[in-house]
Amino acid sequence: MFRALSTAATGMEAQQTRIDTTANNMANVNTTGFKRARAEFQDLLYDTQRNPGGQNGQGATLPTGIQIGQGTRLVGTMQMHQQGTLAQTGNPLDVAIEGRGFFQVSQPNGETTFTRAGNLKVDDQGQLVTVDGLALEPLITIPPDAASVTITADGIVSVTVAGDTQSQEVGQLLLATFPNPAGLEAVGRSQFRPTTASGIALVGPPGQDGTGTLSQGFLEGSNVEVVNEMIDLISSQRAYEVNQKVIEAADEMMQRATR
Amino acid sequence: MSHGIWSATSGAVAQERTLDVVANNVANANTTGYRADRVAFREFLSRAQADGPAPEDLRYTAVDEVVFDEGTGIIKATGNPLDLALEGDGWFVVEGPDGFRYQRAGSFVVGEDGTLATPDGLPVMGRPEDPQRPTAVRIRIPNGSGPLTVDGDGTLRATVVDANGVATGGSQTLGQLRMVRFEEGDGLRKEGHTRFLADGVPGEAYDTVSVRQGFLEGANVNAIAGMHELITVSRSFEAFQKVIDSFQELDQRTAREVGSRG
Repeated sequence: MFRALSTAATGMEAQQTRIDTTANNMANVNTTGFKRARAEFQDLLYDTQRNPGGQNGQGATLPTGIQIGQGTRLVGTMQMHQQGTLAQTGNPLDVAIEGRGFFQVSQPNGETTFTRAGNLKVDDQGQLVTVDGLALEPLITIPPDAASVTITADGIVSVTVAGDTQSQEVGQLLLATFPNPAGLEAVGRSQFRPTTASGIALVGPPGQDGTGTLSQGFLEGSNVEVVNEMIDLISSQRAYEVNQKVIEAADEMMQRATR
Repeated sequence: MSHGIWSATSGAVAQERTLDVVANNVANANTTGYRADRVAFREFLSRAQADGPAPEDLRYTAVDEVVFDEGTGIIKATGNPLDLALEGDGWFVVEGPDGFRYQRAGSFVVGEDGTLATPDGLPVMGRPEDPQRPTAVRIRIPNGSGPLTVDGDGTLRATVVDANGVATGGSQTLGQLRMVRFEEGDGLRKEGHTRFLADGVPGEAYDTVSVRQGFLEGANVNAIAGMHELITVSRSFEAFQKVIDSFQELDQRTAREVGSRG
């Protein structure tokens, strides 16, 4: 039977995975702090019918061999951590990270996850929380009588109490960076979890040693660019078609051969 | 029985092989660092020629070699610090279970115990002390390292942090990637998983290649060329099949007509 049939099938599967990834990227084009993903592929093992460096019938060494490949496979999906576009919102609790880094979020089960979505809120106890109501680490409490909140580029949060002209510092937002953010596991809700591939979080104040700075009143949109996704979509679709044509060609050849 | 039918059959079989190769190329159109394969045919003279009454003009064709295209794939920006593309003549080295393997694919991750590795977990090699007798030098990225930078010569640096995880302001060199190049006759061949193996120890490539951080090299497969090959393969197969059909017809007629005279 033609090997080409199964080879082309792996190619079609690969393109399907790529389209799935593109679909999720496109669906999240307006999700705050979303990072686009990319599927990563490798070729499969080769059927080596003759090794290069082997000998021919006359005893001469052959410079090349005959190796026939058997298709492709998915090795992983990776998050692409380029900066998303910043949009001005004017809301004092919207904080965008410009550059590297993640906010740390305490999950109810005690785990710490990481996010770039800076649409912060104040909960009923006055704590700074994410839009899902999960507290940030370190905990920052905004006094109930605060009239305004200021967050500086290096993360210092200060409030002005009504009737007072002096502002008082209530805490500092810290950012976590990873040696390899592409290795983070996306867990949904714009949250990421560290893995052995990402390395361990290094926590520090914004603006130091390559860590990004904060912009109050801005939100970081997704880093999905519709044009690029469209190009990926078209190229996946065409590549899918070419693989399909291979199947058609193999089918046609088999039909002729068995007629 | 006509002998030409064997020549035509060998041609059809060779086209079938070619289709397998084209199928693998298009299936890997989006595989990082994949190298497209090309088939070369050769005409063989029948061995039987020397042994006796076989006709002297019986020739057949077969796949003589499958070689990979050495052209560079398209380099695309990804922005990931551990996506590395090679510009120029050179290869990354990884440590496989059976020795060193070579690859152009530069999508790396931090693997177990902080070792720089491929996405399927093979350690990426650093520059050895003795290029003639290279040992496996792994590159470790310590826990809590800051942002990583990779220079053009493959040197990895990380921000230094103290015991409390606070950056101290300096940067630390973690190692230099081993980069090699091959000569004609090194027997460089594919192993799968976008890795290659070779005979002997390859030379250093620090002068001929440079690393670009945040970029990846795609496959060097050309979809249009793939389609073109595909059409050529099906049409040639069809043509060979027609030749086989005509020989068959010829044989049938010969049998019928010669038979009717006797």
